[in-house]
Amino acid sequence: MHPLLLVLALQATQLPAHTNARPDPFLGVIRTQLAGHALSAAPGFTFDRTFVEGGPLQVSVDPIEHPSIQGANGYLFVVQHKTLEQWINDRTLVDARGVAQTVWFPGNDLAGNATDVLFGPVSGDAGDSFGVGYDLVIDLNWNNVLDDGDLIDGLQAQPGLWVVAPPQLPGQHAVTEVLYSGGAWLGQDLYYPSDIANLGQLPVVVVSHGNGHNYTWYDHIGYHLASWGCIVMSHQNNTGPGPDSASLTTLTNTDYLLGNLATIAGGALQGHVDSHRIVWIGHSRGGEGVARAYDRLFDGTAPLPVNFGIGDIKLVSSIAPTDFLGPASAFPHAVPYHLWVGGADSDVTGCADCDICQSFHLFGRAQGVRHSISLHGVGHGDFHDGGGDEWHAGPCWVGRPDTHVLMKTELVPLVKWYTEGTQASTDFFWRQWESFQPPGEPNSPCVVVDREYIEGPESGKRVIDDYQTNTATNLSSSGGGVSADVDNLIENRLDDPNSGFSYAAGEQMNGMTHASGADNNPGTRGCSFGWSNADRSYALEILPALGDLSDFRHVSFRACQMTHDVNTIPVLGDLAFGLALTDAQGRTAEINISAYGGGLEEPYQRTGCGTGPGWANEFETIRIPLEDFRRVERALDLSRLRSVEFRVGPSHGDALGRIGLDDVEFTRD
Amino acid sequence: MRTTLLTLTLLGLAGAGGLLLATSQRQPIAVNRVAARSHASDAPVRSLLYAQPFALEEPAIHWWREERPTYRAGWLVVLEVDPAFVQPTDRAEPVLYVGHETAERVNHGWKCGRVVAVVPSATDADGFPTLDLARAKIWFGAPALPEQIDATVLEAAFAEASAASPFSSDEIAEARAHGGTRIRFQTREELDQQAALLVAEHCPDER
Repeated sequence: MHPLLLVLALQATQLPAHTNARPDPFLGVIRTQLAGHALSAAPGFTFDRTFVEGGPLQVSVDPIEHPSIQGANGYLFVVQHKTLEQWINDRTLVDARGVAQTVWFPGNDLAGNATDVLFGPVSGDAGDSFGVGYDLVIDLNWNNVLDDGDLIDGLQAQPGLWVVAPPQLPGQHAVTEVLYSGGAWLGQDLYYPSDIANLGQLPVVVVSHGNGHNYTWYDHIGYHLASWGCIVMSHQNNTGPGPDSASLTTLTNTDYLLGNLATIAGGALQGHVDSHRIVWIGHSRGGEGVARAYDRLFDGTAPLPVNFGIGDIKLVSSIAPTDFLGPASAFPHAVPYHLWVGGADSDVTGCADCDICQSFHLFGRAQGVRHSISLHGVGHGDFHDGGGDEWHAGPCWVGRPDTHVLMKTELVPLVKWYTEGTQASTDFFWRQWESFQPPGEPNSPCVVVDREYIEGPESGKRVIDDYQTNTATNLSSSGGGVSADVDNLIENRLDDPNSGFSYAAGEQMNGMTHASGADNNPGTRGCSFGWSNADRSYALEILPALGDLSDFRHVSFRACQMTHDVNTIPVLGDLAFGLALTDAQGRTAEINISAYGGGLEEPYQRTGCGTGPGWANEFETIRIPLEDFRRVERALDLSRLRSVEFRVGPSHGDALGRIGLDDVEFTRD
Repeated sequence: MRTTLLTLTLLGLAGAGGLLLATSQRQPIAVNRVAARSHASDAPVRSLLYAQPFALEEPAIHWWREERPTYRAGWLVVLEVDPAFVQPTDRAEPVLYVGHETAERVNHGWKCGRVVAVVPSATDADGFPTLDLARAKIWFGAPALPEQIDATVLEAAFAEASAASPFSSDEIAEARAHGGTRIRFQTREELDQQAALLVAEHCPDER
């Protein structure tokens, strides 16, 4: 920069702030989080963004942050969300439940002040959208007006909380189904809202079946998503030759639908299809096929479609995909990617003896935001609703009806997020199933759900260690030091080194299936370590340049129990340990991961891949709000954090265990 | 409430193929036994039940080869097979070969033990398939993706299939008698319709 410009720039930065902003009209109103749920351990209560209609909903006030609240009482109002301008225009409090609720906060801490929101359920009916926004107000002077001294969770662009309708329940539309064919390999099964003539432009969900499957076997997806305002088309898929051929029928069928709207279903869809919001869902070979189809678009490999382009694909979701084509072609690139895996799948088994059967390879390759959902006891054929074998093996079979409920629960927030940006969705991607599931879900003890959710680099997250670089165990990928006294610490590719899940001494990546030997993309490496009847620590330094995390919301990592391990078998069940943050002053706050409803799930106890029970390692994402650490240690300085530490052993949770670990990071969402 | 409107132009019969119900172009076929069986009754490919030469006005793509060649003629065949070889899976399946070509399996055949297949062929000057069934061994090769079978892999598979042998001339003649004379189609879709009739006859469970 020219010296003169530098001087001008410095002067500019020293000018007094431009002050034409009006004074805050709600200066005396206390803005704070209120909605959440009680925890079984410290910090005792956590604030949440999304709630399900009919499910738990509590409020609490932190008496240490807001001493005036201790012993206070007032009205709790659940108010339809209003923008700041709307609040300025009308401060009157009108409860969406029809009546406000008297609340009292006698406690000395958040847990002691936790209060159920009564007179519900609070409605989550948002029509075709997902989530109704509300603001919560505690009216401490009982005057039914938002004014000085009142507390509000809201009063900003986003609502204080979202309430969603149970996503497994049908949406508001009746559905019309149409079967037709446009020629060879263009047989299509179409589902759309019967009142589509009254609707705007709707997103399109395309379903590509697997080998031995049929395009008419996905009514559960078609009817459900169409009832929520989507157009769903399931098509004949040329899976017999293989997934590359299938990828072409995904492309040609999507193109055919978009190019023939004037005639399909008598032209009912004309003017109501948003060709710029397309979701691809594929099953098995078709699940690999949709990833390959995206790869074809990315590479510009002919034949290319004429009625849509790569930017129109908003999500690729693979159900139990195969991996015949490998890293070069079964490659979702940076498109949002979602994966379903059934632990009881006896076709695409996930066993170490079958490289093409390890669906997580595709997840490991994905370079953008990526999700996975692992379902114990679910077979390959449970994901469709047609005839034929369910292809299941292993204990505690879940079966089709319950599997389909779980699929619907997953699909609505997923599709709504990627086609409409419904903010209420994202809690469904990472919150523990044990503590966050809609009322009416299957109550079978066989239902075990593990989810991974890793945001892409565009999210602005701050990665401390993703294990892709600086592969020595004493140095994180972000350049910080790693200090550890855990047992058998190793960093390596997440790839079981042999053909079975039996544990052999020194096999520290046993049970890992997130990468194949040919993979070398993000997500494919991680670490593993163990402990046995002694407290141990694995601490990652946060470099000072990365330590201001005051604008971030969560510390996040994904981890799994290691199958068959001598430290896993004796304590089958959710595994617990502590996570600690330490700031530059040495102040530390530790939270046990089990406080949020379940620790790390035990491996599915299926036999047949090696000796004895235990299937592949199942990673799950653990996210803990940073503010929760501050409620454990009030002085913790989130603007100068210096380490994130995994504390394991009898003083912190389970006395022994062995885990895999990856993607230690801080997220903004 | 669901409202289902079935504008059923063509209904897919099975996931493995683009099988289509359509107006019949020929009389139903009844093949219940083979008088001239020449392969063992427990062989992977046990019998040739039906063989009909076809011609296409518009070339079709043979997706079951890596090269994805086009073809204008071939054989429509029905084989009696060991069901264990055709159980549908998303993993690699045994590849069905006919002579020096991969066959496109139109149906699964797992429950009925019969596979309807399209076997592409080069043509002679009259447009008749040059593939001579009397000299073509028909067998299941190792599990693989047909779209990854190129000429080199195919010839290696052919060389390894030393135990396989062509069907006898009597059996072929009987199958040809069932199949009838060469049939011409405008498009591959019409050929699919003919194949669908055979699936409906031989494997009604796959309707």
